[in-house]
This record gives sequence, structure tokens and C-alpha cells, in this order.
Amino acid sequence: MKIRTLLVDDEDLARIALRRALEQEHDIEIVGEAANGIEAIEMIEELRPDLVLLDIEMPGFDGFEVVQQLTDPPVIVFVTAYDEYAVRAFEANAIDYLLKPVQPERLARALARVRQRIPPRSGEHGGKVKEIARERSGPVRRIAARRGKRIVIVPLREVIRVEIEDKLVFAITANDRLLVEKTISELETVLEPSGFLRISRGELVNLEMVKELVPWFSGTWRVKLANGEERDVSRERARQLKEAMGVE
Amino acid sequence: MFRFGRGPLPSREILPALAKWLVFGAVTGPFWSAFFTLFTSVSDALRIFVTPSAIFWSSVTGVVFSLCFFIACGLGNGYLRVLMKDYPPAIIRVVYVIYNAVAASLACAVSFLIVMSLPTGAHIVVPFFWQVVAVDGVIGAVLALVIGAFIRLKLQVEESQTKLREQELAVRELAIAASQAQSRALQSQINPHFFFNTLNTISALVEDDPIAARQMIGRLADLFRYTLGCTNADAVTLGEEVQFVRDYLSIERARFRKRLRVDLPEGVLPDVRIPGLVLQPLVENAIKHGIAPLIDGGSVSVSIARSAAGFRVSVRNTADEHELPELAAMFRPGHALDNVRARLRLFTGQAEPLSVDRGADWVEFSVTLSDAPRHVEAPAAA
Repeated sequence: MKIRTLLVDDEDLARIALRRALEQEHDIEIVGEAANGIEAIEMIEELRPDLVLLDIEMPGFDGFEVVQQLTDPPVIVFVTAYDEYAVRAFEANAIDYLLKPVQPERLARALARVRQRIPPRSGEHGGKVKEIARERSGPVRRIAARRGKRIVIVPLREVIRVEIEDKLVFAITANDRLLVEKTISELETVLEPSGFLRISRGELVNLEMVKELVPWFSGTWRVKLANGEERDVSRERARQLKEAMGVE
Repeated sequence: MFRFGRGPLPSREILPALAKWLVFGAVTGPFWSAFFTLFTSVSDALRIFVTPSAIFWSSVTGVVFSLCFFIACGLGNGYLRVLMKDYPPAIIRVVYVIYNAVAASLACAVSFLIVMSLPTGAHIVVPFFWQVVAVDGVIGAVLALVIGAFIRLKLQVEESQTKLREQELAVRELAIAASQAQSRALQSQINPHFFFNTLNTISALVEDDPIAARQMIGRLADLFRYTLGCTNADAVTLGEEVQFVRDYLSIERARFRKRLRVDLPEGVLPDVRIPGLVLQPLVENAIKHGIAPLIDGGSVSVSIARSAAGFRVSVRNTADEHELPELAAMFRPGHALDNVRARLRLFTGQAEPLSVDRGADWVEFSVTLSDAPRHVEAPAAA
């Protein structure tokens, strides 16, 4: 059984070099190449590779941001030319990484470890990788969303709220409504550190966008948002919301 | 008593000064009285010193005169100074002399009135009214001249000493700044990111395109040679600096391919000097913060334009305003731009040598170089 591998690097020469090095390995099958963070997210979710060789410095989303947006990350090997802080974090957490230019014996060593991780026995690796990414790039600032067929980057400070409609999740901005390919619970986990809060079963709000909090019927509350919308807050979420807003 | 060249006496010093001049008047009173009595009789003058009542009343007279003088001239000159501060020194001196002569005579007349209201025993100098007025007026004017000249001399000496100290300080600061510029130039050598990325590119090229790989190694060597040559903080010509940027960009283009578009000035460039390694960090910053985050890339252009103050060199690039870090972050101490700015400050003498312009999708950094810029030599030691 071959290890289905995705190469992610914004430099085509770097991908060529990686591809050539990996061609020597008989159990590696390269299923795709992505040239930026958006393509990476798209291809990881579409192709579901076993292994991703992920460059850190990239346009769109950088390597860490890509990891933060993945619900269930595959085995990741970070690739970097020079990032001493990241390297220190990788070393401390036994996360695999490669330094550019990639040397064949280093690649062989990293692949040997990867083979032991596949198939993934637990979410341990994914958790650790996400933790490092979180540590390195702070709370998520942007998410990938879909406008028609295109994937676009949406800065979170523009998102007013997130809602479910017919099992689909949408991010709502001042003048747009974008499809996000995640469940609301997944999104809640990703966005909570960035200042979003679940106000009901099907809705998240950006706390920055909350203008007013009004008592409603039988222990429920209503929020008035920056775009003039009013949304209901369920009884069990009201306390958390008030806490987050600094009242009570 | 005359307070030339200084402002009014602070109020809490008035009482001690009055006490001082009171003692002065009491001690010198008999001598003044004796001096004026000399106009009629030497024996009368000497008699003052052996007659207790004459010593007492001449001391009292001395006190009256001394205090009137102090109030008219001493305190008066202080206020005169404030009133006259905007006039040229020559006029001030004439006014001082006239004022002091008049004030001294007036003080004298007032003193006479006071002394005449005292018991008759005090009237020792009363017969010499005109002599006293004339002598006091002359004394006031002469003292105004002498003390005025003395104070002017003192001020000049102080001024030249301050100037000397400031010059010494400025020289020391320049030397420190020059040596800092030297070490900054050392720091601003090839960025390690760039170095490793270039090695990576070369490594990828080796098999497919050995000629291109060899070219790139040559260019990297050129870049290193240039940065090593720039470490002594000397200025280079604009042409040399632009050529360096061209070599640097040719390597970056091998990495970024179509994502990086470049526009550099062609042909003969004006013969202007610029500190070495100023333009390339600006271009590198433009790529790192402006173009690299853009999926479709962008362009960077270097342009040179004649301006009133000299030549304006600008680095302009595509950038997404949301992606661009705050300027304060770009100018963090120890970072490349802060370094460039500090060196330009020293070289041009301008407080803000780097101007920044930005729009929704572009940023421009500019520096204006004069035709004959101030150039500070780094100290020989290092």
C-alpha cells in the first residue's frame, strides 16, 4: 500500500527538487502539488492524502494557518528554509521537519518515521501539529470559504456571524454570504480563540460585532449586531455570552 | 547693586539684598560725609571720625543713600533689562548709562529730602547738595559703563565655552553614530532567509539546468562580495547600488517566477552617492511583505526622479493593505528597515529620511539624496 503524498510549496523549483528526491522511494505516491495555502487546504480536503510535505512560508495561508484550518490533519512533515523558532518547536514536540535544500539522508530518516505513523493510530499527531501551529501563528485570523466554485480568503474581522442553513455552514460579512466547508462544531473550535462565540445550536457570532445585548423572553437574550441584524441567544449560551462581553 | 545683564531680583532675595546695602551704607557713610566736607575744610572732615554723634548721623545718611541707590539703580536695572530685551546691545548700553545717571541723581535728591527731615545733627552733607548730586550721577553712569562692559565680556566667554562644549559633543555623537552605522552595515548583510532559499533554488537547478545553476552561484558570489565591500559604511554610487539590486532580483525571480515582476531604471544613472546596502533591503522588504503574501504576486519598481532637493529614489510595490504589517512593526529596532533609516539619517542629516506612501494596493518608500550629501567618515579604529 503506497503512501499518498501531497507536496505543498510556492516555489516550483522547490517542488521539483522534492519530487525528484521522493521518486527514489518506492512506497511514495505523489498525488498532487499545491503552490499556496488555499490550494493546499482544497487539495488536502479533496484528495485526503496520507502525508503532506508542507512549506511554511507561502502566500494565501502559510503552513501553520493551513494546519489550523484542517479538521483532521494527515501526517504532516514541515519544510522550511530557515525558521529557527519553528525548528525549536518541532524538536521539542517530536514533529517531523525538513530543512531546505533537502538532503537525501534527512529525507530518508523523516520518511522512516512517517511510515510508522501510517495508518495513524490516534489523533495524537494531528493534535500536536495543530498545537504547534497555534503556538507559532496565534489565533486564526482568516478562513478559507467558497464563493461559487472559487475558494477565497476571508479575514475574520469582516465576518459578522456564522450560521447553518440546510446543514450547510455560511460565514456572513457586511455584503457577502460565503460557504464554509466545515461543521459548525469544527468551526467553533477553530474560531473560539479568535473571539467568536456560539449563541445557539446553529449560530456563532463575532464578539467584535455585538453592539447590544437585550433581555428577551423566558431567560433568553437577543444580540444586536453591527449590520443591524438581531439574533436570538439560547438560554444556556446567554451566560457565556454575557461573561465574554464582560457583563456579570 | 546695579544688576546689569540680569533680570529682576527674585522677591525672596530682596530683603537680604536690602540688609546687605544697609550695612554697606552704615559702614561707608562717615567716609562719604568726610569726602564731601573736604570741599570746605580738611579739619572739619577729619573731625567727623572723632565725634560720636557725627559718626552716627553720617552712618544714617549713608544708609539712606545706599538704600535709595539700591532701589533706584539695583532693582531698576533688573526691570530695565526685561523691558529692553528686544533692542540691540548698543542701544541698551546707551539707555543703561542715561538711566543710571538719572536714577542715581534722583536717588540722591530723594535721599536729601529724607536726610533733611531728620534732626539737624544729621545735616552733615546738606550744604553740599549739588556736589553730591553731580558726583553720584557720574558714579552711576561710570559704574553702568564699567559693569556693563564687564558683564558683556563674561557673557561672551560663557557663550564661546558653551559653543565649544556643544561642538565637542557633536563630534563625539557623530563618531558614535558613524561607528554604529558601520556595525549596522555589517548586520544588514545578506538575510539568512534569502541565502537558504537561494541555496535551495540552486540545488533544484543542478540536475535539470546546470548552466543556470552555475550562473546563480556566480550571482550569489557577486552579492556577497558587494556586501563585504560595503561594511566600511562608505557611500557607493547610485549605479552600483541599482546593479546590486538587479543581481539580487535576478535570483529572486528564479524563485518567484511569474509572481514577481520587476522594473528597474536603465541607462546611465545620475552620479549621486548613497550609503551601500540601502536600496536592496527596501526591495527585499517590498517582496517579503508586499508581494510574497499575494497568490498572484505583484511588481516592484525602483525609480529615480530629479526633485528640487536633489534626486528622489523610490521603491514601489504591489501590496494588499490588509496583508501589510503596521509600519511600526516594519521599523522595529534591529530590523532591516530601522537599520536603513538610521543609516540614511546619518548620511542625509534629515530627521525622517525615508518617506512612506501607501494606497489600497501599493506601498512606496522614498529617499531624497542631495547632489552633495553630508558625508561622515567612520573612525579609523574598528
